[in-house]
Amino acid sequence: MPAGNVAVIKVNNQQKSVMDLNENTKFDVIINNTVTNTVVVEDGFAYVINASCPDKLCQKHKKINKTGESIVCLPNKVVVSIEGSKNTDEIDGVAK
Amino acid sequence: MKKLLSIFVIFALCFSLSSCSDAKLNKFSKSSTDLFDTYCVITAYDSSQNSFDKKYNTVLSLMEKYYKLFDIYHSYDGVVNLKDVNDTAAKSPVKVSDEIIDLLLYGKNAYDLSHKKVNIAMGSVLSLWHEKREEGKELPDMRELKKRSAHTDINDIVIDEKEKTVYFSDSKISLDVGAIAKGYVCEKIAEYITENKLWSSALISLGGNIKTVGTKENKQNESFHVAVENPFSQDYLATLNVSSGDSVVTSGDYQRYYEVDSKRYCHIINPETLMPSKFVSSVSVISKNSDYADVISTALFNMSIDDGLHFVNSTDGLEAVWISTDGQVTYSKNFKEYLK
Repeated sequence: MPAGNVAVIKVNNQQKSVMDLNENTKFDVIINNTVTNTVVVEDGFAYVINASCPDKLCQKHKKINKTGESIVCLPNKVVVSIEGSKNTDEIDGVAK
Repeated sequence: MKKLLSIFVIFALCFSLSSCSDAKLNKFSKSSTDLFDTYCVITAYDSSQNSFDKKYNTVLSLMEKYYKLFDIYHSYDGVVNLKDVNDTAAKSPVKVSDEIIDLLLYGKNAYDLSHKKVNIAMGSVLSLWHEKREEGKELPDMRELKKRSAHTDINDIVIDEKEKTVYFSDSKISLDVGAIAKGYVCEKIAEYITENKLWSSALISLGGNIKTVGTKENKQNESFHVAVENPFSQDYLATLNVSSGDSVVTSGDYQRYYEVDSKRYCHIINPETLMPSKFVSSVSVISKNSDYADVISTALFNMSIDDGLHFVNSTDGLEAVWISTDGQVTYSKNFKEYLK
């Protein structure tokens, strides 16, 4: 587990990837041999590009970096959430 | 001496056992993307992942039960739900569960609490909007909306508490509990957690409808930190200290909407205009009860900020923050006491 925060990617509650927020990377979520969402880590933030869902809410969601934040793609059951040890800015819930 | 020793052993055992149950608690959370057409998260302080998971599964079953009962789109084997009520209650009274009776009575109450701005009998109007939003191409026809709005009188939903039946005295009326169900279920889950002593510290989030149980069980016993989204900014509008049963509910135009000719039409429909509300971009409410907060956030979304401010400032135990359609922020009288 990296020292700082990470973005954990789950599909239908199954963990698919853990991305270190200190490393600029990309992860393709693949469901039934198709890329459904692409998660990008850039300059300490995670966000979603290229979503296959009709509403694209996850793609429009703001970038996240604080423990407890998440981006959700309901149609694909994809959840990107920030976990980790840097808890100074920890958030327990987001009212939206 | 032996006796003394055994007493000592018993004491030592008791002590070690009790200190065991006071072991350090950690924060766990689990989520579902399958219920209430939204993202549901349960967060709680527990001694181990295993212990948390077991309790979470009982909470999840309860959420599933409510989800099926209050669903207006699907039928389920062995369950009489609101879809069945919508399909058949105009023909003859439908026998339903206590949970449905309780929700519908609350829905009737919500109509009064919200000054007629939240109406669960608006199903016929909302279903047309729902259909058009799913198709994503065009707006509903206003003549059709008006025709349907003639069948939204909440008094035509007839509830017999003794017989536990629901009857529609207007054959074209239908129920849509979208504006009250999540807040209601949040409150029921909190009651379940408290009554069954699952956790003394928990946070329930049903698609951003938030309800707290206790405070965080960390060293400082802090309040939970609940961020309020600002659709105009990458930063949150505020982070709130919320605890001891308080709830936060937001109604906004930026989460669920569709676009026609690049104009945005949100999912909250004003009962007066039959069109999406355009008074504010978002309004967040803090109150003890999440069922009440849910109703009031929708009601405030359907009125001007001035009217809403007057309503909130003259109601005990209610605070709110509004973000106008051009991004201006307005706080109620004591809202700032919750700011972190």
